[in-house]
Amino acid sequence: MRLSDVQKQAVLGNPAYLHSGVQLRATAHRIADFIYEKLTGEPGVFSTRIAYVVKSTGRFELKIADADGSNDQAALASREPIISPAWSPDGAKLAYVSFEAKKPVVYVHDLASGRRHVAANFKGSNSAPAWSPDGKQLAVVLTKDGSSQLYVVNADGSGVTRVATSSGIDTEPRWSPDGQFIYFTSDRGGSPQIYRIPSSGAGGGNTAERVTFEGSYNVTPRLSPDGKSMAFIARNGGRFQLALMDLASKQTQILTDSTKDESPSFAPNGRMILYATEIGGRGVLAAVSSDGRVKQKLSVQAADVREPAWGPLVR
Amino acid sequence: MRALISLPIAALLLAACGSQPPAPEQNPAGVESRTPGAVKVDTPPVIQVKPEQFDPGSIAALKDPRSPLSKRSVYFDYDSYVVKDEFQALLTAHGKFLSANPKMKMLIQGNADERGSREYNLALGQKRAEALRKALVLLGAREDQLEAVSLGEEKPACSESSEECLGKNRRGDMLYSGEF
Repeated sequence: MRLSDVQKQAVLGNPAYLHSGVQLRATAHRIADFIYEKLTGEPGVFSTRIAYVVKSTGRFELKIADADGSNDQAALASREPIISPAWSPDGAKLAYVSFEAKKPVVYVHDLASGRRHVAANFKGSNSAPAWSPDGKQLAVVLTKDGSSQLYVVNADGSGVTRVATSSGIDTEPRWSPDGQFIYFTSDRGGSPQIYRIPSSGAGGGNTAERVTFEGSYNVTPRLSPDGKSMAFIARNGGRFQLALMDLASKQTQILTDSTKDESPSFAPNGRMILYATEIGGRGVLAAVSSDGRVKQKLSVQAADVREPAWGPLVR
Repeated sequence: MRALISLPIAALLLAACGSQPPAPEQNPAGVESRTPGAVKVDTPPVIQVKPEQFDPGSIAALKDPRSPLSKRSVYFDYDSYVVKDEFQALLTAHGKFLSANPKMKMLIQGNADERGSREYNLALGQKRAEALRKALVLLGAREDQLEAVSLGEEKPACSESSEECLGKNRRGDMLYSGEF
């Protein structure tokens, strides 16, 4: 493959790709990534993968697909719900919550081998796994000491420590990309709002700092890969919509005009946000550019699709 | 990715990993065949715990539609975890039953309606399950007999978006040993 700048009469690159017939799509995605990066200076996301959950009658499947929604494969099938898939930073594993034990339990699933282990199964509910940027730890929500509270465990399930304490609900933890903070949803102020706490945990003068102030329902914080902005779900007059906050200025923009948005997930180059919404009473996946200008619906099958998670860059 | 975990394997993993020991002679197939979303009170499963461990009269009451013990669901108002007065008699009956049958365990599953974030709704369901757990302890059950968990919005009893239907999903279900 050769990429040339015609005006400057310069060759931008001529990488070679060896592939067999079945890898044609993958090769095309690699070429697209090469071109995108040469022209924009940012990595392309054509070769990345997404995870999501498909619900059909009496059956839940955790699926992995190319970022454009094609080439899907099931990583797990169950009669009980599966929620909150989260990619490990190296893209080799998924953490998720499965209800197959008649209660929520957090698993870590190795995608290459199909093997998995329990990361959190304490008395009560175990949910909302989020990977630390180094991939060694998971922030999780446990109820072993009462209501839903934030803890950190090692990815193998050992060494559980509490991160924050409130008398109400703390949930949906998410590490900032630099690892310094854990953002989360809490109703400690009376309504669900987004807060952040140093990832070293409460104590030693560390306290939670409120991040969202407008409205009475702001949930599901997701940090952009550069750590500068935060996607979340805001309720506006009964409509649940995808919003984006510039963390330095606190300026917030609503990115969609739909009514049941959930589970935003940034593309690893930060340019798009994938999210779940509902069209005609059915769950679908949609994506919007971070500036809100370009929207697209991903290919929809005859089933409920939800809980998208965009995987990391393929290197 | 080719390795698709089939249900029997998942069940094996569960048996290996679960913190909750399965009830004696629990039949996993029987539990799995329950249709998702079915209201559990409508299809009371067979109690498979060894009968000699319990007072046979009261075990039968769990399945007897004339007994308050056959009722297992408590409903909540929107955004509320307060157990309403109309359910006090039901909880009193279950509290007494657990007290009289100390080997019997109960799984309390809290549920939420579909509006809003799945994980936040999971936490709301947990609050409801906790409210039932605390009430049962005050009414005679021991802490180690009870586990309060949440199914969030994932197992709706009713899937329309009417207010009446959403109300059916804001509930706590009480399941005894052998039923979960």
